[in-house]
Amino acid sequence: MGTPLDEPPPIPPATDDGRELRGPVEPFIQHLPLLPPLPHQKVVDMSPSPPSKKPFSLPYLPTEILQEILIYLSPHDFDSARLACRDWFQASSCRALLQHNVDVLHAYPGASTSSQWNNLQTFSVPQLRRYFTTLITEWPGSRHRVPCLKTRLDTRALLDFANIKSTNTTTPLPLSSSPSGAAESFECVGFSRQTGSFAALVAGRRPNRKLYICRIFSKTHRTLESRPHRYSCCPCVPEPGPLYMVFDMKTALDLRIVKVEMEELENPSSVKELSITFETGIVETYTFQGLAPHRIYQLNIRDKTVRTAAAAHLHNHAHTHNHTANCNHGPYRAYTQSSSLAGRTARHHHHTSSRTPTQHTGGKKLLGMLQGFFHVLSMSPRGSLEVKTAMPPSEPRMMRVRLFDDEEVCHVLSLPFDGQENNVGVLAISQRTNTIYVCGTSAFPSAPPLQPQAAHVPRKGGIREDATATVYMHHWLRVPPRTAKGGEIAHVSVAPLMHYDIGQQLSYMGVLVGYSSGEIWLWRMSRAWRHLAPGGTLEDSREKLPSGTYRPEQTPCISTAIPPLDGPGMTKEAMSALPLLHIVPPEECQTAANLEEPNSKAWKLAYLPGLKALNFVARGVVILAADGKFVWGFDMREQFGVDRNTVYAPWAGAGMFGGVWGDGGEVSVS
Amino acid sequence: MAPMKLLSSDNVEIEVEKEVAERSVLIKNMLEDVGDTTVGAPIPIPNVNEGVLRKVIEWCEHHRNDPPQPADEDSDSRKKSTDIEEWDQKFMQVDQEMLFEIILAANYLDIKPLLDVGCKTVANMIKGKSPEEIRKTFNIQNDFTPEEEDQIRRENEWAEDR
Repeated sequence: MGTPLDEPPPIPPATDDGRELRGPVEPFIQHLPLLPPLPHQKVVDMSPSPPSKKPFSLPYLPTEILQEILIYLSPHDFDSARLACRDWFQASSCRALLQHNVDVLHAYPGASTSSQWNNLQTFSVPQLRRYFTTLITEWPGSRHRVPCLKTRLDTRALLDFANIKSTNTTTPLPLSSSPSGAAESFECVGFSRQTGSFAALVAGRRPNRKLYICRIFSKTHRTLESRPHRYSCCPCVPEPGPLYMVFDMKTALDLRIVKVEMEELENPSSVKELSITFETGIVETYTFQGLAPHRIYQLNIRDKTVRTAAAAHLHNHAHTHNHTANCNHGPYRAYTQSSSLAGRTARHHHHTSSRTPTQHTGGKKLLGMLQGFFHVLSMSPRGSLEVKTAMPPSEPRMMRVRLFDDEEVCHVLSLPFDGQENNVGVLAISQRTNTIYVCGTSAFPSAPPLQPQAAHVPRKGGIREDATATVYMHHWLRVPPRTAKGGEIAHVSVAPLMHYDIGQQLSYMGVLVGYSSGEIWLWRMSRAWRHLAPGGTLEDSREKLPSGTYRPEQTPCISTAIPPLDGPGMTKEAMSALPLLHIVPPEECQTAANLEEPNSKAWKLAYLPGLKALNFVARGVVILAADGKFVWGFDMREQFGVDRNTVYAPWAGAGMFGGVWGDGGEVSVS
Repeated sequence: MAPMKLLSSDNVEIEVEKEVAERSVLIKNMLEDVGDTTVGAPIPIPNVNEGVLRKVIEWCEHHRNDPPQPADEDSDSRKKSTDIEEWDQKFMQVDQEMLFEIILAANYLDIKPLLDVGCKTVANMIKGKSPEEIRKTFNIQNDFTPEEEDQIRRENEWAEDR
């Protein structure tokens, strides 16, 4: 329990007794550990505003006037208004206002009226407020909450399990004692990239780490029905995902793992490729031949018990050691990778616990049965074997970005909009200003038709090695300022084709940004800009859909963590040697001063302190995040019916996000 | 139809008919306390400047013949409706600074119908907006920390184990 807010000064009684709404504001924060209120800074103008507009700031309004305003709002608007700032929240925490809004919500047909809440009159104001929050959250389509189905997978049991295993097994420590060195959260979390069916979680103490791979989408979930080809891309709500693979991570190097990526076979789904990135930039990639079995064994996470029955028929696999050398250092470009470290990777074993039953108690022998399903890192000398991995690199590259005669080093991501990468966008991430510049390369003078010959149009201005590239900025994404300190951009994920609106002939891109503070924001923008040359209009660049049947081109989502700029090895000389990216701002804002917020739609998705991973999966309709203890799923297809973010396409059934451009979801336009 | 004078905060005398000025409960009570005979001395309105006061008087003049509000108004019907009559809508087409000045002045002068119109106007500006859009509209600084904001947003959700 934190410091409670000072009790607000009692409001003088209103002159006319008829206004019962002006009751004194009861101490409104009893369960929220809010910090003491900041001094009123009403006239702080954080961002430079255009000189033409006179800066206006809201004068101090007495609580009673704020309450007069709040009377007129519907529950949705009331909910939005109370989140604007402390004063408004304080004004809203008043019995009469809350009671009125609860009454309105109760009158809504189908509203849940639990018997627990029968006697509203006896509620304290915090209770009433909590009840209002419950109701307004359940109300479908609450405006400022992203319309999504939120689910979460409790992975803490895995963490406990790993902590026990990584300490001395002869003297098992009780969980409550929290042995020193036990990990409080997962070291690293990754999701498989296409449908996000699997989550990889690294836990335990070095060097005895374990890598767990859990299936996080259930094939039995009811929202699955709307998916074409029975794709599994739905967070399994009631039960935690079955544990799919366990790896002992016994490495010679005591290195932190910064990234785990997986590529999955989609049908039938299993892990196809696993790539582990260490803090030095070393990448280990493992390819699995054939299908790894679906359920090697199950670890019931909630009950912390291991079930072993499923694995009996797999035993023969445990002796097939087909060690094809399929591992290399991948296309990763490390910031600090030195040859000596790279040389040491060859000795960097990653092996299963081949010893097994005796080491583990009781029926946990299955840990040793995994070895047949993946390949031990080969000892091949560096560079001798060129293996093309299925996974293209998603690391941002560092470039000097020039904008408004100002130069700074930014992480830059290039976004393919089609399979041939003829059509790219560029995302420059400025950590100094916490802004993301969304740029097009202006490769096309006008909209290209969605036809195969578009593949032969050369890409101009795209990012090439050792070149100065010019791109044209069309959006810039920045979290609105708050008086308290926010965080820096730590995770970025992009869904190049998040949403396709056939009626409007518009395609939308989604950008997901996780901040180090734990805030997650989601932007959605029309991607017509990607063809837009300076002076062109959006109308020109709109895609012209061919009539008949066609398949909208899909590109995988790109997710990456944004490393700090001042990492080791980033000397001044190294920075000045970086390639240059010249960003041309839109014509209407030729100075930094009139760079205002773009007209794209933004939502605050969640607040997850200790964010470990943030991925768009399944073409951007599902968002996965991990905060070290839980895996969170945000299913953007509305749980209830068709919402305004969903394209209505009668031939595609419900769940339009999946149906319109899913695999095999051919769309015919007449 | 007796004329009287009001003195704005920036020391400008404004002549106004007593009947119009008495739309303000504050002035009305004041006049009753002082007695009806002292017409000469202007009444100081220390919280309201000239521009806002003239605007308020303009509203009072237009609404001078309005019937008084029923004493025990049906608060429910008043709550629900944000309808504003046409003249008042035009009257309220001012910049935000003036709008809030009018609301504050109506509150101070105790002109309930004008206060209602002002609050309805603000409520209409809030309608359909997200918290961020509301902040942007009124240039409100977000003074919640991320933790607080999140707690308020989902006071009920998953509270048992976080």
